[in-house]
Amino acid sequence: MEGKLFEGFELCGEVAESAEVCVIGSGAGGAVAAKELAEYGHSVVLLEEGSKWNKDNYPKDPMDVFRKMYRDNGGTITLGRPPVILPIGKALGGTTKVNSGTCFKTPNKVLRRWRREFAIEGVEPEQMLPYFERVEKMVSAAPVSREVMGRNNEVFLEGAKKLGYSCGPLTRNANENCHGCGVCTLGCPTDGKRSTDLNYIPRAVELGARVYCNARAEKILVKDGQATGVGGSILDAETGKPKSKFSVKCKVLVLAAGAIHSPLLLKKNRLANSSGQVGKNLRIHPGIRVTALFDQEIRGHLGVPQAAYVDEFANEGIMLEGVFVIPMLSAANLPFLGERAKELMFHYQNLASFGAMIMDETRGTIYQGPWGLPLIHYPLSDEDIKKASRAIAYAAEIWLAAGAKKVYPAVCWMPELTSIKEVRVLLQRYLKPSELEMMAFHPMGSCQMGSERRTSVVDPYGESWDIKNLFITDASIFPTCLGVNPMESIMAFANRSADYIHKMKLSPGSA
Amino acid sequence: MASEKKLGNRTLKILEDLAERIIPSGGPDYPGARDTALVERMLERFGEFPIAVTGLKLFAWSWELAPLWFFKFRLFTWMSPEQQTAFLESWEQSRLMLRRWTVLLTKGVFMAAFYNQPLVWEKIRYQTGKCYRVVKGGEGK
Ligand SMILES: Cc1cc2nc3c(=O)[nH]c(=O)nc-3n(C[C@H](O)[C@H](O)[C@H](O)COP(=O)(O)OP(=O)(O)OC[C@H]3O[C@@H](n4cnc5c(N)ncnc54)[C@H](O)[C@@H]3O)c2cc1C
Repeated sequence: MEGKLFEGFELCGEVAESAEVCVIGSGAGGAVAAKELAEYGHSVVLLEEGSKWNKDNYPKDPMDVFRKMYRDNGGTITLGRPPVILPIGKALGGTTKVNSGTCFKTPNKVLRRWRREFAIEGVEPEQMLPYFERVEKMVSAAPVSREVMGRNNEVFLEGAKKLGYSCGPLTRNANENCHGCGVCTLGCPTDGKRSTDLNYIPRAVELGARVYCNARAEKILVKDGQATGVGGSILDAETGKPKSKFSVKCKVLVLAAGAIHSPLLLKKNRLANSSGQVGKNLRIHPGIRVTALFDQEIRGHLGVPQAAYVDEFANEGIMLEGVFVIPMLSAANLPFLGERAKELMFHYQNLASFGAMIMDETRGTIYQGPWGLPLIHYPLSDEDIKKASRAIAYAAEIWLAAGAKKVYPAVCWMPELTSIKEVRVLLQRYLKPSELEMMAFHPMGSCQMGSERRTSVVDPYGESWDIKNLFITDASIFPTCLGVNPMESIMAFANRSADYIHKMKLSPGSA
Repeated sequence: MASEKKLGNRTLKILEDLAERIIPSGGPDYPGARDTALVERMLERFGEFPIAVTGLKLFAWSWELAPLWFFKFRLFTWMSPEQQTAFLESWEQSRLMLRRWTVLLTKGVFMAAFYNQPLVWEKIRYQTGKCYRVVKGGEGK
């Protein structure tokens, strides 16, 4: 089969395809599965609902970016106390197109926990290491250089070092074209950030994969308990409205529509849910942006926004990572109204901010809502609230140590704090979930893998317990929160599933 | 004005009052909502989508009637600017999540639109997509 990438506008009339493997979703999980299986010599069709973007055609206006490259204009939100904004990408490259590019291997502790508590075989750190290394090579993962780190990250690291905390530069999937423009989450204007549309997908096409953008999978076809294909609509790239139909026949169907939309698609098709676990166990790795005001200029918008971490509190399930956003997003996160809020924003050059993320034990649920949209229920547990208040306190303490004049912790009854004494107040007082303003970027766990069909959706290699040859290879399979950014883990596990599919399902003599 | 046609004078006034309380004007060097014709711009942008215009109307009128729920016996636009500010602040500082999130959402909509204007970027010295290597090498930190 000759590889090719099709965009919605090129396609008129019905499309009928047939391949050994059909992959739904081109993000971290889907792109890796597609490329690895194409490399084994299998015919692959990759379907992506979003459009193709690159440095030459990015929308210039940030509002347009949210409209065109994110789902729900970037405003996907969980319901519960507190509501949490949970942006998700929709583009060729999936959320990797709009993410910050941070790469972490799955922590050994987490892998061992999965082996111990969930009896998941083959995931010991030594067994996973070759997959992580393969992924890191493919995405050009390297620590952020001082040259592009930016003052926001440098200043926070200075504060952390003063307090003797473990910290350092983050590893990212970026090459020398990354100039630290500070707009990773708007799509990278230099293509320096190596999202999957710049490595895995072109390689898959070279190897013969046929990639369809603006193609939304809707119906999963099953015969005799086995996945046999998928049907759906080709969308108009501008309006998102269906303009024609497609169908793909396949031997193996790989679902990688992300941790919100994979379970949603299964629910819509009433499939693979004998365990009742589809859409349950959702973790989102929630976080709080803790902003600080300095006397001196920080110019946080210059440099890589997420370039440094503090992992001193990783054992408590708390990770601190750089995050600095464009004015339209900064403003909404700062406290106050009127003159005070405006004055703060007119000191944009003196602002700095860092994210405090918690490894959540809360479990959310995804329901099918009206108009086929996901309804996400996520009520933060008491344990996680306590973790969140500690996380805010640690970040605030570091900002103060770095010389911040004021810190804005995103807690409603404490709009700003100026001293360690106030940090202690924050720690001592019981926070209610509704008093926090949180965001999350890492949904996972909603089609959990496990060793028992009663309690999980897929087996340890991602195959559905109920539907043969239906695999899930995205963030939804993780049984717990990772405690770190998930992209590299998703990719490594997708690679592992692809190896398994090749060996056990598609090579001559396999069942 | 096109925006008056789209929304009607009354709705426009509610939105303008809200915008001005959230981002008060301060002249050309320290601009706020009115200085940049924020509501007009928002309408220009959302005007293409009839559903967004209906949404804006609903949103505006919810605010207009909101004081009645709290026994203030007057509409939002009947209040003085100081009273409007105090009313919005009482919502922002409320421990009732629904009230706080309503004001956060309102603030978010206006702030996102306001701080997404090149004119405002210039005033706060935000340089979009500026290459850090060059800035660091050239101007220094
Ligand atoms: C702003 C932001 C910053 C982030 N930063 C980082 C970071 O620095 N490091 C990190 O590790 N992680 C980061 N993440 C998270 C990370 O990008 C995601 O966890 C990861 O991309 C998820 O991979 P996935 O394969 O599960 O889903 P996705 O990458 O979301 O891919 C799913 C794809 O499937 C498509 N799709 C969905 N439904 C259908 C359908 N029915 N038919 C066809 N296609 C469909 C979607 O359009 C999407 O493109 C960030 C996320 C965000 C939002």
